Amino acid sequence: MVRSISFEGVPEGRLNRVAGHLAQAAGQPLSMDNLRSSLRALYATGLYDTVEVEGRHEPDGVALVFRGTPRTFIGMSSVYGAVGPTINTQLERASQLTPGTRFTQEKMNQAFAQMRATLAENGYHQPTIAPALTQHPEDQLVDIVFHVTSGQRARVGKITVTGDSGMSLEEFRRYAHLRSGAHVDHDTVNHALDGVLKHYQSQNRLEADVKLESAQYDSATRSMSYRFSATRGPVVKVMVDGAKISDERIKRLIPVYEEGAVDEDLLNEGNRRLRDYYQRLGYFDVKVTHEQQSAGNEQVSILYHVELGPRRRVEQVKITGNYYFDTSTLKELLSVHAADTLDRHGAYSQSLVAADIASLDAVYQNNGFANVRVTAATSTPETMEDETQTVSAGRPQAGAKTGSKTAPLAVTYRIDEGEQMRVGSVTIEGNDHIEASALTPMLNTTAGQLLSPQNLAGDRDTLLTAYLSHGFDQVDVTVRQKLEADDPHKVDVVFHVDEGKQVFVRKVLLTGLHSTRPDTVRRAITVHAGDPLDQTAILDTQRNLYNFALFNEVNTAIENPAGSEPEKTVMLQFTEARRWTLTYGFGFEVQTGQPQNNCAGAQAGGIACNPNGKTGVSPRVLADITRNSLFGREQSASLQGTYGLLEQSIGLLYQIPHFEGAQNFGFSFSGGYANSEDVATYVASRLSSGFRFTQNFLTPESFFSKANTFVYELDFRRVKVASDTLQVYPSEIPALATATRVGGPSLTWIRDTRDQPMDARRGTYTSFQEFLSDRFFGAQAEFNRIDLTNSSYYAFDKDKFVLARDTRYGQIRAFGAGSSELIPLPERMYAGGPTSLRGFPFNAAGPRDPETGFPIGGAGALIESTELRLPPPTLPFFGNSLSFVLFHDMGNVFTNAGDAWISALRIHQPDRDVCKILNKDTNEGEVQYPVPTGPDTSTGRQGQCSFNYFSHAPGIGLRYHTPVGPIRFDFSYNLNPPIYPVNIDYSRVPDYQNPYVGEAPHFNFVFSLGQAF
Amino acid sequence: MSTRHSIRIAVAGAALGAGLGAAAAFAQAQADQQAVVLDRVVAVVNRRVILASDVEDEMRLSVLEPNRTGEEKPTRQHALEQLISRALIEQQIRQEDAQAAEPPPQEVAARLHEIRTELPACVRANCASDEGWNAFLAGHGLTPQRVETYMRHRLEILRFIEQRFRQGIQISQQQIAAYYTDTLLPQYAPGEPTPKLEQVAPRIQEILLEQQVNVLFDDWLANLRKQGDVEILDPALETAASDSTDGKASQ
Repeated sequence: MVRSISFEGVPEGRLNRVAGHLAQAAGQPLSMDNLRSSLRALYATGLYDTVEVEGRHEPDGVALVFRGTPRTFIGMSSVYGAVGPTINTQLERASQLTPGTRFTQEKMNQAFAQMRATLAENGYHQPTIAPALTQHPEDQLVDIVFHVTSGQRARVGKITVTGDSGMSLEEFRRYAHLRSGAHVDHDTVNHALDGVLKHYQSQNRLEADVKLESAQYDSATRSMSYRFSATRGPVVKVMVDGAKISDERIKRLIPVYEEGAVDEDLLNEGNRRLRDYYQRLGYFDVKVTHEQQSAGNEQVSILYHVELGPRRRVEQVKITGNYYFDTSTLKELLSVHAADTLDRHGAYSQSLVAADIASLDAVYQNNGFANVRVTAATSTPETMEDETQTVSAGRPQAGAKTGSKTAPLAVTYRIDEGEQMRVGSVTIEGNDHIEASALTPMLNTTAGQLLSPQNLAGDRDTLLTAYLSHGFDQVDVTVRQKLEADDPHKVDVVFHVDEGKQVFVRKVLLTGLHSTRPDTVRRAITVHAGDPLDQTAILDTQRNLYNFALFNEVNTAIENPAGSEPEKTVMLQFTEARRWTLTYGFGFEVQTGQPQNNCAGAQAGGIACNPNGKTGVSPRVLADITRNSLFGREQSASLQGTYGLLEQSIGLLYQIPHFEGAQNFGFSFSGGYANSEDVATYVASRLSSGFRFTQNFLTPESFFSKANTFVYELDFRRVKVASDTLQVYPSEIPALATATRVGGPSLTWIRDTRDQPMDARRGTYTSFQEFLSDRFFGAQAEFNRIDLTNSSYYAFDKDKFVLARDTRYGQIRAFGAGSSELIPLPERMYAGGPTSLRGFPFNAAGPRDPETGFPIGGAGALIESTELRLPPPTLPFFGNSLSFVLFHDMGNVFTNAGDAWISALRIHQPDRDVCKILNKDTNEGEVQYPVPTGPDTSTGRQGQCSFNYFSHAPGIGLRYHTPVGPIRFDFSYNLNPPIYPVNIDYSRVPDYQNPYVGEAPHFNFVFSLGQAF
Repeated sequence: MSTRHSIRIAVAGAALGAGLGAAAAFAQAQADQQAVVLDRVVAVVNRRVILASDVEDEMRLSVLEPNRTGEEKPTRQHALEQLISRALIEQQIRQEDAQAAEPPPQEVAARLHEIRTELPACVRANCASDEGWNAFLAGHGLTPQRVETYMRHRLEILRFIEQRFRQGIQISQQQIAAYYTDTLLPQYAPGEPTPKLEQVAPRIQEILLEQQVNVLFDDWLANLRKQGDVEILDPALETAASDSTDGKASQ
């Protein structure tokens, strides 16, 4: 009788779950068969390298001891010290020491060999690699750190070339970029081979063969000797007969040029590409063959024979026999289509027809029509042959017989739907650990529904995912279908689950955290000890941790992945990001109506200034230094600076992206000083600070969707306009130049469903901002501002075109008394320029000073922009990266918020003649500056010239698409620009003697980055 | 003896009467109040464990090998090599889901009958009778059920090899004629009457077929071992195994 069973070697507790399930149990008779099974089971756990069972006789039975050498697994593996920006990472990969897997000396030896090979590829042939192993016996893990000393980098030494290279050694060195004494790196050999091959290709020697035969390192001279074989091969000439085609197009179509090689596969691909090319031109029956002719060793000719056949156009594409789907639905699936105004020949080829048949077949199959049959018939009337057709340049010209005119062609898809199969019953079997009631609602396949192979495959994946998330990592699901005996149109579906063993998490092991507090990352970890080993949770954890932006890498691994132990250790391995980051950038805009920053105000005249600004470039540089992982937490502080013509600023930003660990709450504090010169009328300075909470909605049960963001702010700022820059009538200067404190709460709501924010094709973007500046918060100017924007994007005609529109409405209502009712200039509404009204110079729309004509902003804004973004044409040099935009911008900025809507239908400046009334100083002696008439408003006294109308500006734009968004050039023509009186011109001396009527420009252009909205 | 029986392969059974040696040692240890190792893992073949008791069992089953001469047992190293080869082949059978390799009961019975009536050691022990057979097996630490299982596995492997390698091998008339001329005829003394080619052609074809199957099988098994993960944990067995040039049993 076995009295006791104990385990030695593996850390205590690690076998707890296994011990109770061994075949040989305590209290039972000793059985050699059971002992054998127990030994096998213990070894299968993967925790032992060797294991044996020992028996000791005791007075009342036998004591068994399972004893063995514990297996060690790879913990964290890292490489330091190698020279080069990415070489440490390369070496880590080359070592192939996968975390969690078994550690063996053989693996270490392989790692050494691979790392040495990688270093040699990078030119380091005499490195030293010193491993340091740190054992963690409690977890059966070993961390491996390799300290690499790269040594000196090899240089290019002797070069030998064999074969018929057709060039001197010096020429070979030049084409191969193998300068003697140059450092060897990872790409040296590849560059050499590519360089020489490219040279041969430029000579049309497409069969050239260049190989590296040997590479020898000479430790004495620290140089690499390379031996190449180069055979230049014959000159390859590709010709096409039977149709005219330019050499350029041949080079683009025939892949031997692209690949730099000639073989039968590439030549056949050339057949296909030529065929497709001519089929696009309407030669649907075109036949292309090729033959290869050698003229000695020096030349090979490849001749493509093209038989164009008649030129046709697809007159009609018909679908018959369809009852379940309507024709328009099915036509959406077809690639073959009839000719139309944009495509004069339509699209047709045998391969397109075959693809269409497959598409139609698939859609019917997925809707229960298991026996559907789809056939296609093409009707081709006799080709007319009354004249020889000439094709314009770049298109085939018939030397052979071609159709005189395009002959009609009709394609008919005949569908025999067959009987529709439905699902009889749905059963899940083999699900011992998860109730069917929990699994069934996840399935799309339900009784009575159409039998869909797509649904069945999707449901199988759903079940697999469900089981994987419950720790059944060996689960398998098979789908069985059986026709019902009494109803041949019904199929019973059985999902058979082979669950395998359920695996749980023993512990979650964090490694690699040096400056980050474990508590910080713990909040992001959704996998916990005791839980089923959920692969989805592990991926979620990884994603959450990456969202912290504290780590360059977060790797997850399972210790002992191949072992059968029922509890596994989940390893989270971190590589922390640098704690200090410095980013800098450069940007610029070119536009008409750029505000001049050298304008002098009333106190210092003499510099020429125009209310409409001037055409110019506004460059800026930006720099940002950030301290990440502040206090070991997910917090950062950064100092940001901008220096440009239109703005100079410096600011401090303290951020907590996940406030108190909440995934959907962020907090930030900002403060800084800015000097803005973005309105021609003045130079403003701003000292500001603000607290901001940002709320996102990430969970499915949230009331708002993920697209929504709320921002709650408390902002304070002191704005001041430099009096010596102010371009307003003199008596207004003291009031506007006074430093004013603005402060209060702000709420912003953003809803963004755009598919790609930089260049949206569908979706909407809405923002609503409410800001209250009130005496209660210490403000000296009291007003309430609402700013609302809404953009929407509609892609159509198979996503080729995009119609985009944007509406902005803004209003400011002042409610203070006396001086607090006057809205400070920098707080007013402005429009004009690249991202608002493109019919105006930068921030120059709306009311103007009644005496100087400079823009002074308003208290209301209503702007509507509409764009038709056209598909990119294929152009020489640019390919598909250039596209055009047609746009129309309308709207304006208004004196009062209430003026906006009433002005929408007004397309002419009201009382335009009033704006032409000029006055000048007629007094002798001291100048008597005018004081405008009209009521006092929150934006000052406006005079008689009104700007309450809608300005309209159509335009055309050019977009050069780059991976970071489009580069934009927009040209607009303002149909109805405003005029305004200029009685005082500070840039002239005397300043009140030469009045004139100014007019905003008709033509405007902007050069900028990103779409307008 | 049919051709398939002469194919050199490793066929061995899992131990049924396992641990007899260990049990005996344990009985001795019991008397001595000492701890004794009852069993241990000696090798792993693609995660399949081979125990020391498996090796012992394999050595006992060697008594049924037709080519065995004398009473000496094969070495433990040799037995382990057989087990490793057999494990590799069986894993391949499972992987290829070769259900057709499973032998029918009649074939197993016929093979057992052949052993009982033709194996010299068995003939001497009067294995033709059930009493004699049971006594013979008991004397070697075996049971009839164990031997039947062993034989079924062995035949399964043979059938698998037959299906996998034999089909598709073509022996041409030229090859037969060449063997007749170059190999068979020189074995006859000058003047001795020689058989005609037509008479011996079928037998020559069998021999050539067998040779080719052996070559293909040897290569295949060597590849399996090379690509697989075979780990011998007992250093004594490992040394012997690495010295072994042919891991397959021969007969």
